[in-house]
Amino acid sequence: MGINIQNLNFAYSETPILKNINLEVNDGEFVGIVGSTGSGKTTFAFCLNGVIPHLIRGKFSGDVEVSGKNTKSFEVFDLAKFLGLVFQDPDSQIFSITVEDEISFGLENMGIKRNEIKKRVESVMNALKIKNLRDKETFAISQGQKQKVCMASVLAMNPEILVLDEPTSQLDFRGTRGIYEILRDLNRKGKTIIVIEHKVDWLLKYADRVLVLNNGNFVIDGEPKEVFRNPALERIGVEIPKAFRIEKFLKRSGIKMDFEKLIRV
Amino acid sequence: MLKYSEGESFFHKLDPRTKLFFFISLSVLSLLSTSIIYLSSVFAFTLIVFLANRLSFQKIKSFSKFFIILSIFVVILQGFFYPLGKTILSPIPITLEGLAFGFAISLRLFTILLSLSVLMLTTKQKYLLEALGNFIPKDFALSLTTAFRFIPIIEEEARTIIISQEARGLKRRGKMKLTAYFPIIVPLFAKALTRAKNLAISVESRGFGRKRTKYDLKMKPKDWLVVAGTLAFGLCLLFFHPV
Ligand SMILES: Nc1ncnc2c1ncn2[C@@H]1O[C@H](COP(=O)(O)OP(=O)(O)O)[C@@H](O)[C@H]1O
Ligand SMILES: [Mg+2]
Repeated sequence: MGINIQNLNFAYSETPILKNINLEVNDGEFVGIVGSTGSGKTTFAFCLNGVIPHLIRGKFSGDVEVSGKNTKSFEVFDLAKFLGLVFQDPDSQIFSITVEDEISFGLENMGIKRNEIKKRVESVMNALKIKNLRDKETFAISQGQKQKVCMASVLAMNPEILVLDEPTSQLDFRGTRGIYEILRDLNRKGKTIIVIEHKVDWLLKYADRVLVLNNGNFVIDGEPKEVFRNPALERIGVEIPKAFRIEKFLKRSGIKMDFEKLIRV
Repeated sequence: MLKYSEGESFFHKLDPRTKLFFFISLSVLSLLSTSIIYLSSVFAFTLIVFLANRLSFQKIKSFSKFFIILSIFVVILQGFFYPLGKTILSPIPITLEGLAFGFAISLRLFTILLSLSVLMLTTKQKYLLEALGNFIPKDFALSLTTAFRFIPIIEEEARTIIISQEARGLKRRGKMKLTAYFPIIVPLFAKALTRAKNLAISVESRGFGRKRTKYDLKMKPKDWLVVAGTLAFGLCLLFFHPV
């Protein structure tokens, strides 16, 4: 079932942000979305979980189906069971006073039993290595830790589809790798992962498919290797992974090398 | 900031509804009269409960500072402008009745603040949310219980706005401190609106809206004891000091 989008258009006011998007994402895919700042990635993410059109006003048309449910006919809180969204800005997602409460919140909303909530919170904190934060106050932790708490609060609900809006922007190399390893793990267990990401090197390594958002539409769609070799990328303003920058440079200098191997480094 | 603080006090173990009842009863009592004797009794009762639970003033310091300044203002203003004031304390045109009235209003303010502190310092957010949810719509209950979480953030935002305005050469003039804060209020208000919208988006995105997990609130004998005690105090007070 996955995600099925037909003729999606959206504008906050006059300027159209998303223009006639048609897209299908199958169950079990690991998709990366790239695009320059302001290209509408976050807006697109809000269309997936129903925040647009239900909570953010604007000109909306078209159909977005998530796990077979049209977002127009389901409330945001009903869709939350199927699709979890980790916000780009942790400060606009977190509202509980303690970390534990924040992570339990979604589970309480699902009406899950108390001892089950405890178990799930425990296990997700273990997976993200944030057990030490349990009783901390949410405003007294670092931005990177906040990002992990946001992710934990969504992961705990165990949705079929996970959408993450730049989830590693405040994390260092190790933190980022940790997150991507978790995402890969979840993906292998059957979850559909959609991650909006600026750090393109990670998509090259972990995603099966990359979409490039430009001018309100996904102008490039394909395997990471092909997408990141597309000469149009630079004009669009999307970063090119290091491996391919080196490849380009060496090719121009007339040196031949096996770049497929380089990618995996 | 009024946030839950871990503890083992008597009130910590009460049902949140009992504490809600305590807070509402004392607030209502304090609104019924402006007599100083009456309000002093209500305030004293609240203070005793606060202290008996070994709650620390440290926890409500930043809050109280604001209210102390506010009440000084109120006392002085009432001293000057209280319309029923007769006894003038020459040479300054301040009336004794005005000062007394200002003092009464301050007592009322502090009673409400203190009884609210008893509730907030001893009750976890999620229990309070559930208790409130029994009486008012759930989303309204949520905004009430989260409001306090945003106080340190609002303070931080205010500081950032001040710094950024001064960095761009804004000079804060004005004799009274209050007017100096005018240029901050507009951006702060705009931010508050955005925050409210973000909160709605955030909670619904995590499924807030249907039946939530119940925390099995249960009224125990000690809860009824507190309810009875509060009622008894209120009735006695109204009996000996009719409003
Ligand atoms: N709430 C909003 N109201 C009006 N315009 C908005 C709002 N949110 C975003 N925009 C505008 O929509 C465009 C796309 O924003 P966004 O989806 O956040 O892009 P991205 O996530 O790719 O950086 C930007 O030009 C932005 O200014
Ligand atoms: Mg964005």
